[in-house]
Parts: sequence; C-alpha cells; structure tokens
Amino acid sequence: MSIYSRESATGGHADVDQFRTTAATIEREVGRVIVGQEGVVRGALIALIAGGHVLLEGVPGLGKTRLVRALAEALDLDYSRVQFTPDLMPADITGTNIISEDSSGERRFRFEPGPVFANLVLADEINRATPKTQAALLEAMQESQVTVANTLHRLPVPFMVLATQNPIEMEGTYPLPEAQLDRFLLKIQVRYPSARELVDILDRTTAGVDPTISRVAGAADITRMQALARQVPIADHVKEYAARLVMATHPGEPGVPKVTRDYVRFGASPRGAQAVVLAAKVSALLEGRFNVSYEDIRLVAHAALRHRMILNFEADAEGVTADTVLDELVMSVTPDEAELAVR
Amino acid sequence: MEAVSSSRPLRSRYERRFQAESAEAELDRLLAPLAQRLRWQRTIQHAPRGLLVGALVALAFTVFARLGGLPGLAYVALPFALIVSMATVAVVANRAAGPFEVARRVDASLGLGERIATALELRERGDDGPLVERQYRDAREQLLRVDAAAAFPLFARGSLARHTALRSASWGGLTLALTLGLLIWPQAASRLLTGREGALALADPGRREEDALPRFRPDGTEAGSELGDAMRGQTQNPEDIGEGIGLLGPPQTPQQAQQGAGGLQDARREAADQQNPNVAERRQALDDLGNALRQSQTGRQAGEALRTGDTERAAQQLQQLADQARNLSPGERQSLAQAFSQASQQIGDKDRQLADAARRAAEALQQFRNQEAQQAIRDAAAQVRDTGQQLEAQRQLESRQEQLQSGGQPSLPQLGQQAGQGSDGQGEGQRGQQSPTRSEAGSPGSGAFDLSQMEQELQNGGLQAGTGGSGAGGGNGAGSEKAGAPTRLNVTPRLVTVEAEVREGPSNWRPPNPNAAPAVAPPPAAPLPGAAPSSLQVASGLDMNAVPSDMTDSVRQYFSQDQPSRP
Repeated sequence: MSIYSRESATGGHADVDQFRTTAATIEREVGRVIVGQEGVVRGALIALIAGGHVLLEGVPGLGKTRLVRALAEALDLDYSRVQFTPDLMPADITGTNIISEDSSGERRFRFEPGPVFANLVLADEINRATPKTQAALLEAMQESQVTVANTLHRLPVPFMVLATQNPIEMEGTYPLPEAQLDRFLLKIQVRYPSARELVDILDRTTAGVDPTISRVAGAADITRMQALARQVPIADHVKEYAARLVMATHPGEPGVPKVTRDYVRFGASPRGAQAVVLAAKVSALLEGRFNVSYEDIRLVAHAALRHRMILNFEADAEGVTADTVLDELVMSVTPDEAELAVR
Repeated sequence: MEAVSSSRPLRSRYERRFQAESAEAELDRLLAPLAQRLRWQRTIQHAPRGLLVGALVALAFTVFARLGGLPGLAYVALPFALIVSMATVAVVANRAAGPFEVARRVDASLGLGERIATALELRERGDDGPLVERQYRDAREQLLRVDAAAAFPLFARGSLARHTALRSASWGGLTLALTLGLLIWPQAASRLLTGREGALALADPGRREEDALPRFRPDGTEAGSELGDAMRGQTQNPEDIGEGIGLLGPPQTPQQAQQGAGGLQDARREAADQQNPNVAERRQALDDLGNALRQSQTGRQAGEALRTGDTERAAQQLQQLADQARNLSPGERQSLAQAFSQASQQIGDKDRQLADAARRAAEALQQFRNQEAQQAIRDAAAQVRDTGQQLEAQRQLESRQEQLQSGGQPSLPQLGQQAGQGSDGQGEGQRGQQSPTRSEAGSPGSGAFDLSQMEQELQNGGLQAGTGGSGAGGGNGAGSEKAGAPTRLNVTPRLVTVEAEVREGPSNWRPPNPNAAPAVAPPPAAPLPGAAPSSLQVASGLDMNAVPSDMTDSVRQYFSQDQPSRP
C-alpha cells in the first residue's frame, strides 16, 4: 500500500519526490468527500506531518467530523471518535483498569485502553467536556503517552488529535484553558462553503452513492514524512523573521505594533514559534521547495498563533479577533527590515 | 541531518565579499553579474533622491543668504547643490553589494522563496544531506535562469522605487524652482517695472506734476517743461518772484530800487558760488558715478541718464532704485553694491559727499541693511540733483555772459529807463507800446548779467525812472530746462497789447477748471526772434493751476497790474 520504497526511507531524493506525491494523493482522496475547504485539508495534513494536533473550529454541519473520518480512511490509520459531553470522565478517554478473570480463575486488573489509543482521535465538541476531562488529553497530546494507575502507556505512532468545537453555542460549555490550547499545533477555522461548493456538496451527498476513499498511505509513510519534514533547511534570516513575528504578539516587547499593545494581553509562547517553523517546513515541502521561505511563515502564522494569543477586554468589546491582530502583524513585520535596512 | 545553527552572526555574513576564486564559490560567481546590476540599479534609483538633497541644500543656502545678509552665498548655492547631489549618488554607487545581499534581493525580486540565500547560507555553513543537496541544486538552477534586468529593473512600473523616484524628483524639481525663484524673482519684477515709470508717476499723486508735464510736450522729448520748471522755481523760492519782477523793469519807487539792489547782491553771491572751481570736479564725479552705475544692470538707467547729463532723471532713477532696494535679488544687490563701491573709489575727493553716499550704499547693500541702503542711495540722488542744478546754473551763467558779450541785448535797466521817459499822460497803452522790443528781445531775467554794471545802472537809472514815469513791461519766465533748486525767476519781459476795458472792482477772470485735463497738447510755440529757444509765448497760456495757492495773487497781480484785464 505504501508508495515509499524501502531504499528511500532515509530522506534521499526519492523520499522528497514521494513526499509530495503522497501528500498530493492524500489531499486528492480527502477531497473526494470534502468539497472546498482545501485550506482545512491542507492544515490538517500539515499538522499530521508535523506531528501536531489540530483544533477545528466551526459551526455545526460544515464537515469537520467528516473530514477527520476521511483523513483516517485515506491514511489507513486507527481512528476513534470521542463525543465530549459534560458527564464524560477522563477514564472514558484514556482508559481504565478493570478486573478481569483469566482462564485459571485468577482475577487481576487489566488496562482497558480508551479511545485515545488510536492514530487519529476525533475529540468532537471538546469544549463541552469538563476541564477535568479535557485535562486528560494533556499528557496524551504532549507526551504521546497515558499514565493510568502509575502505569505509563505509550500511544501509537503517529498520534494525532483532531478536536472540534462550536464557537457559537457557548452555553454549557467549558472553554479550553490556555495550557490545553497550546498543545494544538494549529487551530483551523472551518468556514462556510461557497454557493458553488455547496452545489457540489449536494451533488455528492444526495445522489445515493457515497464516494469511496482509497487508503494511500500508512502509519510508516506518515512517520517518514514527519522525519523528512524536520530536515527541511531554514535560513537564519527566515528564522529571525519567524521569531520577530512571534515576539510581535507580546505587548510588553519594545517596538511592537500598536495593535498588539492595544488588544493583546498575552502573546504566543515559544511553543508557538516552534509550531510556526515546523508547519512552515511542511508547507515548503508541500509547495515543492526544499527550504522555508517567508511566504511559508506567513501562510501558517494565523493557524499556528491565533489560539496562543489572549486578547484583552478591549478587543472583545471592539470585536477584534486574533486573526485581525495577526493580519496587522503580518503586514507590519517585514521580512528583511533588520538586515537590508542598514545596507 | 538537522541544520546546525550558524556560528557566524547574520550581520557579518552580509559583510562578506565575493569569493570568485574559491572552487566552492559557484554561487558567488553566478551572483557577481547580478551584483553589478544591483549597484547600477541602486545608483540610478538614488539619482532623484540626490536631486532632492541637492535642491534642499540649494534652497537652504539661498534662504540663509537672503536672511543672513550674505548675497555672495547665493551664488555658490547651485554649484554646491550639484556637488551634494553628485556626492549623494556617488556614495550610493560606491557601496558594494555582497553575495548575501544580492541573493536576498534576487529572492525578493523574483519570488524565489529564499532559495538563493538559503543555499548560500547552507553552503557557507557546510551543511550536508540529501535535502541540502537538493536545495542547492534547486537554487543553482533557478539562479542560472535569472535575468539580471528582470531581477533589478530600473523604475519598474508600479514599483515602490518608481513611486519613490517620482516623488523625490517632483519634490526636488519644486525645491529647485523655488530656489531659482528666490534667486531671480526681484530682478524679474524690476524688469517688469522698467519702462513704466510714466504710468507709475501718474499713479503717484506726489509725482504727478513733475512727471505728467512732459507728456504734453509737443516734441515728445523727455526734457522738462520750461513752463513747469519756471513755476517750480517760483514754488521753491517765492521771494524770487518779487526780485524777478524787480528785474523786469525799472523800479517804481526808491524802495523797489533798494530791493532790486539787494537782490542783485544776493545774485552776485550766488553767481560767485556757482563759479566755484569745484564744479568741474563734481561734474567729473557725476561722470564717475554714471560710468560705475552703467556696469550694473539695476543702475544702468541712472548711469545712462548721468551719461547724457540729465541729472534730474538720474536722481529720479536713483530714487526709484532706493525704493526698490528692499526687493533686490542677491545678484542685483551684489552688482549694485560693486557699482557703488567702484563709484565711491573713483569719485574720491572730487565730491566727498557723493563718494560717502556711494560708499554707504555699497556697504549697506552688501550687508542687506535695506533702510541704510535706501537712505544712502537717496542721499546720492540728492547730491546728484544738487550738483546738476549747480551745473545748470553754471551753464546759464555762461550763456548769459556770452549774450552780454555779444552786445545784442539791451539791459533791463536801460529798457526801464527808456520806458520811464514816456509822459505820464500818454496812458498805459502808450507805455505798453513803447517797449515792444523789450519783450521780444528781452533776455531772461536771471542774475546772469554783468552784475556790477547792472547794479550801478539800477541804482542810477532806476531811480531816474522812478521820477520820470511809470515804465512797465510784461514778461514771460523762461527757466532752466530742468527742475532744480530754488533759483532766480527767469523771465523774459514782453509787452502785451490787449484791447481791454478798465472797470472798477475785482476781475471777473477765474482760473480754468482744475479737473479738466487738457484735451490736446498746446501747439508748439514759435521761438521768438532773439529769444531763448525754449521760451514760450505768454499767449500760450500760463496754467494758473500749476501756481501754488499762496502765489496766485502775486502772479495774477503781475499779469494784471497796469494792464487790461485778461479775458
């Protein structure tokens, strides 16, 4: 099933070509059931290859759950879905020890893995669970492991959590804490499809024939792609640009744009800068380049930083969102002002 | 395989120069032509900025020169601005571009996604690996396809460089125009005013009389009106009227004879003053001033007037020059100051007052002290006018002496004596007829006679005439051609025979409407036989409006005393 050859598993020239081929195939297969939303698919793929997790935010009915299922089907990965509700307990996610009786009649505790033990975990409406349950995902998302009864359980590789949340039905929800949000590599906004895309969706979903998705990559392929993505070189001046962009989200830093001083309470963490560079490396490979460019940084900046910034009351009062702030930052922080300005 | 962080600071990497000799410097060799093109583009694109910088420097120089009283500084503004512009461009052109800068700019210009700069950095760091090699090959292929002109275009349409260049050029041109305007504007304004002195004079009530009168001269020359000059002389020295009248005919009473004798003594002193040997030197001083002023564009008219001997016009030009001194451009100011300075040196001891005025004018003009410059030029104008009047008086004196020496003119006392020989009962008409030749051949009654003889004759014959009868004579004043300082009234006696009727009571004659301007110029008066060419007939009309109000009675009395009433 894998399109990777065994000899090309070390990041050679063939690996690079196959990377692009695999990625393009995955996008094409997912696109069979997900009409439009190419950016969402690309974002999810970037997060998968970068080894991160994705928070999908959008109103109900936009195909978030369908996207995750399509991705799991195309990748031939273990897939589990957890519908988060207020009465969901952490053990319902991580699993728990249960008493089991063997053939000899001896009873002992046996760990029963929860739904988190899968390559792709769909945490549907994650903000409806209590913080206690949400926190159960923290260790899994960050360490790719679960500790139950002092026993550490490794999660499968690759491991990716795709969480969804509804931004409009806030009644009875528990907004994700910042620490939890920071675990997500990208936060992707799922937007309404256009009228033309909507017509295409109707054609595909109301004709009585469900499109089938072929499995084009496995866990091993994804693992190689993840390793290759980290080898993408990035020049110093591009790294400096990414760092300056992240630092521009901190209102206490000198020389930050006015929009940051006015509307941002806390800026992005260093994990945000890591997310930017990692996602940019994957984006560069997907674009057919072998180095990270400014454009890659700009392309992933919104998805990697929007959930890591905490806006203040003025921003809420004036309807300023994190995307608004990032739009300003991308415009105001120029790539080469530090070096070329002195030339 | 993870990229190792660079041990070389980013800033120092940009200071590295091309290493074409190195075997590993393939990218350097490929980037070298692009570096040349980058320098050329940078130089050309900075030219408008250089223009702007130079124009600003020129403007600053000009403003400083005008405000700080340093007219010479304005002349170096444009050359210095040119130097600054060229230096600005030269600095940019001399700035080298290293391989990293060229790579960064090529990436940015052609949208290569930091391929070239990353490859250059990876090669310098010595990174290795499949992806690094692939990236280097990719960058090299892209670099081989790069067109230098496309990478570094000159003022590409819609580019920021084009916009900046247009803006800089516009501001630079505007600034340069403003600078040139500051340099030449007053000069242009003065040229506009040149040749319109007549209109300006008519617009100026204070100068209407003296400038408007020449307009009605039949011959159209610029010489002053004799009539106007004569009346002006009366205006400036009213007491001379009585003396002039006294000179016209034999005194009626002993008191008049005494007055006439006193007047002659004054005339004698005046003549002695006019015969001052310094007059020749002052004439030479005027010539020096004229020669110097002719070398200045601004003072050329005054210099030309001095060259032609028209001191009055020269004084007027200097007055105008004084009025315009505040608006002179630095160039005009410098030129005029040099002219005055030269004049001051040349005049020297010939006319100390004129030399001092010229020197003060030169210094004040040099140092932009406008009020002092105006005052100094006005002093020079007054000195020129004064000298001109003295020269004119000298010339008339010489003319009279020549006439007397020729013997063709009877002296006034003799004529008065002849008139006094008539009987009292002959009436005024007879008396008037007895001296037709006196009015026709009479010479202007100035103090230009042989004064000793005249005084003696007046004391003798005048007293005799007083006992013998009542001689009378009409006359017409014939002053100098130019307006001048108060001088003795120059009149030519003439007996006018008018059919008139003597009535009691005041005269019905009234002066004409002062608001009615003469529709046509008066016809040219034929010169009287033996009279001065410039004299006019009495019948040509004396404009009483030109007579000051405090003099009208005296003048009217003169023209109506013992004569038929004027129509």
